[in-house]
Amino acid sequence: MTTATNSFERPRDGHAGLSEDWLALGIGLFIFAMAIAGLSQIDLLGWVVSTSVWVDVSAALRPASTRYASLGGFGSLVVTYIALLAILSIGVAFLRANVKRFALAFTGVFAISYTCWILGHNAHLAATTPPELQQFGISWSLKLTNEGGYVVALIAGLVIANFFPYVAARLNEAIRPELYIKIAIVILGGFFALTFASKLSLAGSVLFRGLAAIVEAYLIYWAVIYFIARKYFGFTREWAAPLASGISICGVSAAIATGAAIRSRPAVPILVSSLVVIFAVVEVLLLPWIANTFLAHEPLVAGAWMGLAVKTDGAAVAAGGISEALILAKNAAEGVHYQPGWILGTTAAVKVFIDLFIGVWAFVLAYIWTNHIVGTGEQARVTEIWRHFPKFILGFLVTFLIGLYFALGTSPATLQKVTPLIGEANNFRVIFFVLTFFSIGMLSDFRKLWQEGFGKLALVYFVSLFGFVIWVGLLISWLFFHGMKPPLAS
Amino acid sequence: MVNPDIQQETDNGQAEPLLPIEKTLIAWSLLIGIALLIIFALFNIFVPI
Repeated sequence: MTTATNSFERPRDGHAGLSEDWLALGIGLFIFAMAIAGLSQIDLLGWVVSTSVWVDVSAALRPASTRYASLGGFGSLVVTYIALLAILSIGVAFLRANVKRFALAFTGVFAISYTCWILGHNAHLAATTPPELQQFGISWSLKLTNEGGYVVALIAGLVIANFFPYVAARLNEAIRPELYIKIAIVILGGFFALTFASKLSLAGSVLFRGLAAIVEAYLIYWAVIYFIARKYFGFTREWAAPLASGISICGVSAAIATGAAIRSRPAVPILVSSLVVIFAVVEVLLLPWIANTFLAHEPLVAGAWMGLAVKTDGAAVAAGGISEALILAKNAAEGVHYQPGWILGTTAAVKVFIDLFIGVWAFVLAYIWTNHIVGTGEQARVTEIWRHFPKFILGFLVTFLIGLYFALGTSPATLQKVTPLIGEANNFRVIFFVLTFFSIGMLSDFRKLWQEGFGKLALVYFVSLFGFVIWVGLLISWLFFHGMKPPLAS
Repeated sequence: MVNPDIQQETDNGQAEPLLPIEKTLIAWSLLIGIALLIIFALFNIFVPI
């Protein structure tokens, strides 16, 4: 049986090899640097596969750059697979994982994930506007947009995890949603910089309002959920603190950092993490469509809400991406064409802001626990702030600053050259998103909810999430982001 | 598989009443959090960025 436990036991702090944080930073920066190197007239990433909406599947794939047109769609898919297999296999060798098992499992994960992505681009799923339906010669569409492929991948993961445990076990070594989404977030930094630089004042407003998210997650959510878990559900401190962090901050990373900070047994945050992923899947399957129904005319409220309500970085940023696709398509159908990137950018900004303080919060808890609660004589050290700091965010900041430099500090000619290059890197970001969605589905073994002992944990999670976190998140998002609109596409 | 002791552990929570330091942490978190949100909201209204 595949379980979340296996995947979350992987090292974070370097005890058994490089941590996934550092690896994600390295791989993300490597891909970004390869893209930027294209400024020297050598297009190093133009072969990466790109997918278009299709009615004839042979027209679905093509290389990102016309310079590599001779590869053809399938050729670029194979080259992309080989390149990813190589770089990730080298990466997992640094994690001291079994490279051979990873390579075999990744082959399956990539094949299934990308097949789902291609299926999601079928015009009957992805076409959104009447002109598109006409263009593809079809009479109906589910209007999921081309991001609907994420949902197809998520559902495929869920089905395999819950109904085909033998297959799931074979793929388990490459089920690494945290690694994939962190690489994607590092790459995303440069793309956001170009988007945000086009309207700096609005970007400043988004970032300022992101501060409210930090306050809400750490000081409001955490305190209320910890109190509910302790007072009304009778959880011990060892269970209540990781649970509160998992529900209120950013899911898996926060639960694990908190577990370490309060010196809990390793199994406690790991079990909480598996619940986090299960509920995150439910949120991803519900919230973007709710946002599209009720917040289509408040796009940035929707983006911030995804960042505040959906737990784990992967699920949150993914939910932001789906929300953006749905909301942009709905507005486009009404004749309003917003610039892409702003809704997803708002979700990611909120999430990154929250992530920045995990280390500080872990230190605060460690100080209180070691001085006032556990009494083992061990003292919390300031170095714990750095130990629990999510290092991949440094990569995000680097690519963001480089992107900002190109957008604001170079000539329009240079910017014109660098924009498609960062777009090529962004193709990798999309692939890592697809891998994340499939992996999250694969970690969502819903049978856990019925297993002995999980009922009470699941109940407190359910009550806190659906009774408090989602709605307070919506209120705060509305309060700070309503009335703000993305710029119109030129 | 899930550790079979989880249910027993989570059902025995009453043995750990809230300590004063936990109450202080909860109270101060909420107090500072609500105060900061009000400040941000006022800032947002009167000094929009």
